[in-house]
Amino acid sequence: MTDPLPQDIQELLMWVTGSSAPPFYRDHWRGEKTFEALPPVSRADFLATPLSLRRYKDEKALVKVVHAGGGLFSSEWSFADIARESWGPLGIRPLVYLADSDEMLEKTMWCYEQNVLPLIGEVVPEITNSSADFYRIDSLVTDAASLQKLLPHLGRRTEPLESIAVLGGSFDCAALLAYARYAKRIQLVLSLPETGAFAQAPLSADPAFALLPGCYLEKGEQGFLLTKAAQLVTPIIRYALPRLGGVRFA
Amino acid sequence: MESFTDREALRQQYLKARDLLIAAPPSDASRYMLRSTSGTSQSAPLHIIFEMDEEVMARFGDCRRVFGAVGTMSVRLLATLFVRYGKTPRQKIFFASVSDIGPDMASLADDFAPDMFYGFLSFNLSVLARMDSRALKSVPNVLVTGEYLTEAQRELLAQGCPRAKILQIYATSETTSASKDFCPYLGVNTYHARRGVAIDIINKDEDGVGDVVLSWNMFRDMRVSRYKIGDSGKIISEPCRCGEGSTLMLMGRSGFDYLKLVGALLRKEEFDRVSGLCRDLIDEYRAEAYSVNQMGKLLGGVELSVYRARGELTETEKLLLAERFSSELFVTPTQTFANLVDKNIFLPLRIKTVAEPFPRTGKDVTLKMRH
Repeated sequence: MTDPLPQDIQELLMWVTGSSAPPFYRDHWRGEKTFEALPPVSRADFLATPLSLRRYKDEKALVKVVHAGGGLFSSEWSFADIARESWGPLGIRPLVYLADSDEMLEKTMWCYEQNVLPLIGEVVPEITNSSADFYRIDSLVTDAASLQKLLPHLGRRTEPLESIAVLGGSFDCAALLAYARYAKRIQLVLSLPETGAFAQAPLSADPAFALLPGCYLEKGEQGFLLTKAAQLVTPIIRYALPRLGGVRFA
Repeated sequence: MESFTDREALRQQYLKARDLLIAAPPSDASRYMLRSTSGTSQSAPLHIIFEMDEEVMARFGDCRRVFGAVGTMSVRLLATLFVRYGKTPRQKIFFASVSDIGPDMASLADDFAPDMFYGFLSFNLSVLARMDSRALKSVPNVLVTGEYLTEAQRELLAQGCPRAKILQIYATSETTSASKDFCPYLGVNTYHARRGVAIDIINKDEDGVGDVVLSWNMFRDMRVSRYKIGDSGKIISEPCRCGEGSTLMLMGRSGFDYLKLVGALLRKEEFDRVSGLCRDLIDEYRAEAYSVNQMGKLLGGVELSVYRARGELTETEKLLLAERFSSELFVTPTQTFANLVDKNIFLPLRIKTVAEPFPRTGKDVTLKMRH
């Protein structure tokens, strides 16, 4: 992190340690004031702390369930924060189809927040493929596993999609390159349910991911630490990312 | 002759709506939603475009924290849109997935502290049966949709959520909300039509019960006229105390809650009631209705498969069960199954015993038509 800290990070830290804020981060940091010395926080910490004790603001929101190593924790996302997530691309008639149903719902709401009318996928692939035909989708928000299930629709298309955004924590680029003929562009978006999107790159054999605005990455002893300047319901400050599977950052 | 819109005509209307949508995308996406029904054994999925208004968006009223038990993504999305675009500030929604129901989810639900438990009836009951959540047990409001609520199910809901006001919405895949919300003077399975929706009954029997047809504003200036929704009901024309001029009394879902056969109405709730009276003889039942052509005359028939944990019924017990079931089971407002057997409208009730409990697969289909 640069010295001095970026203005947005300073504001985030003040907000999180304010007198009316929940004690989650104050307790976790145990009086430490230097940013680089703040103890990282992880999925285990979220798992151990009920949402009500790490809810830093109260807005209209949806709550997702995150599956983390043998347990579940809640991740609350205000619709305003969903709207501010700055990844892409997005067409005019997107289909959102993801293996994680809570993620699928949140990314569908993201489309609405961009004032785009999306189609949400269903668990049964046949219905999703049929509805993709009906709506004549022009773009896709998906993950690698779900993309495979859309081959019936993709195979019936006479024109490539405008875009495919593939979300996930790691990517098999060689396997994804096989889908290049189905879209004019394919974007890989690094995203976790509890952090939201934080980096993206055009699909290639060896993509270099660029951080999204307001996202900061540090290389820690055990891996990468993510901080997002956005004042989220549960802020992301020096969050220890799970292993990202050989991801390279620009 | 009464005309109405059939499923294929509805499909064509939605294709036209789709073309209009593509030609002129909405300036405000928040008013619209796309969904697909799963279809039936006789038809492909139906792809639907909704245009929503403020009355529809107010589904959850003033409740602040909605815990949802709905399975399909489109219904989850619809509920989320109600929260996002409804007028109640700081409203939140949290869905349970079937695969997550258990102690961990119970803790998350307790921490969320919902003031409304919303869902498809059978999913609500499943959550209550499988998840020991203090918060759900003390929730003040339960809103169920999607299924006809029997007295037994209402009792189960009330036992699971003893402090809750139980509310119902009449909503269908094709129309989203067809009913107004929460008239305090209405009982179970009774509704007033919401603004823009017209409810009528066709093919009425002697008691005024028939097929429900709905008319509604579909998309922009397109309207669906008299679509047979697949439910059975009757219209009560006396004004309600709230001032509404008519009320729909829903009798159930064709093919699941009830079947029509040779002029009789076989109702799942009635079969449940009578099987309850025969608890000394059987533990579980499944009923299959059929028709036979007997010398040019169509007769109805019912085969009752029964299970008893302490051993299969003897031949004498089967005869006793057939007699009791037939004499108790009303299949018209005034006549029992036994009456219609005497009149040679139905064949005598057949009893078949099974050695194992009936498998449980999602919805409990205890009454069905043999094809």
